[in-house]
Amino acid sequence: MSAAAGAELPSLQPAAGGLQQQAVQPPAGPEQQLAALPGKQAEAGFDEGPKAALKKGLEESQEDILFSCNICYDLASEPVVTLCGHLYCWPCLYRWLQVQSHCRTCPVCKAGVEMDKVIPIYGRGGNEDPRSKSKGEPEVVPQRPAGQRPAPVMRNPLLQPNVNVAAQQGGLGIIPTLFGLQNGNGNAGYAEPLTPEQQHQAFLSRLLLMLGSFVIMCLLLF
Amino acid sequence: MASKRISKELQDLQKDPPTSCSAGPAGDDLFHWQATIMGPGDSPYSGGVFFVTIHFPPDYPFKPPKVQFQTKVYHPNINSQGSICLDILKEQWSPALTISKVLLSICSLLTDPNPDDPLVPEIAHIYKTDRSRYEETAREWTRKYAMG
Repeated sequence: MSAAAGAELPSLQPAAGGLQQQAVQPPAGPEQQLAALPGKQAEAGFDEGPKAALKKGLEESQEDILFSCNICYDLASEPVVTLCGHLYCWPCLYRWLQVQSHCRTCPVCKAGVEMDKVIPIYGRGGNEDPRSKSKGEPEVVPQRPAGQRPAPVMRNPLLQPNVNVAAQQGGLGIIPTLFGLQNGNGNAGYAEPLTPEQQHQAFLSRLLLMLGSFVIMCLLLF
Repeated sequence: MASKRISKELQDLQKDPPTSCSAGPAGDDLFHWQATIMGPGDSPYSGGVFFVTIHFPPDYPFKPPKVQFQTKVYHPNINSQGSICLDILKEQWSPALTISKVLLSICSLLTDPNPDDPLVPEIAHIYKTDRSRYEETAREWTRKYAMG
């Protein structure tokens, strides 16, 4: 809309402006409409999209804050997260846990923190910044704890190797029991991890079964 | 690390200053700040402007800053030297706290004294037994030392 037209029809301008806004904006969910509200008041930046401009401004300031260490307030280097969910640089958190004498707590929420129970965060880039090495920390900070690697859990119970082994055993009799025993041990990585006690019990019951069947075979044959 | 963190706090304070207090370096030394606290409206310190000095230790934020009143205050938890009895400045300090949060805590300490952990037992006693006398004296001291 030109300035001349605006001057000729001052009363129409707000309505026309409103129409234009409706035309520019795609049918948006309530969330998007809310986000665009502050942009509507500022008439500038209309062409490049007020929403985009607003978002850009917010992101620039918030990206650093979102991923900054709660102790040094800098972007977290060697990031670790506590079980309560708070982000720190590993050297910062380590130093704080050393400073605390009697009871080790999270600086943000005062939940208990154990040194070996923090979770490292491995991003896409290299995990170590050579600059942090050259700065020369006065005290030696140990390696941050490694991440845990739990065994994947099968979603479909029919596909679990344990069940297959059991089916083989049922169908083929005694000798596959031996294979079953070996199989079960060989596939332990895929199956739900058994405790040592459970493994021991399973082994004993199989041994008993083998002995029993051997005795019956002897009785039948001689 | 300490100076970087202190300058970040200074930036945050300038970007988003808290109501009723202000703070910044007293001179060229980043580790030595001066702050002002406006007496809270719902307290006998209302209308007063209180000056506070802040010293950051070299291992800040692992150790708490040293905060002291320069203006005389009649308060159960603030003595004649200006020392403040506040848990977050001692054993309850956390490196996630900032000067802005500390100043805010001091503001709420002015509104709600803690007479059960006093630094000046006489004032605590008066606060507990004769509240109107405490308020009158606090208002008088505010008029005398924290105005004009």
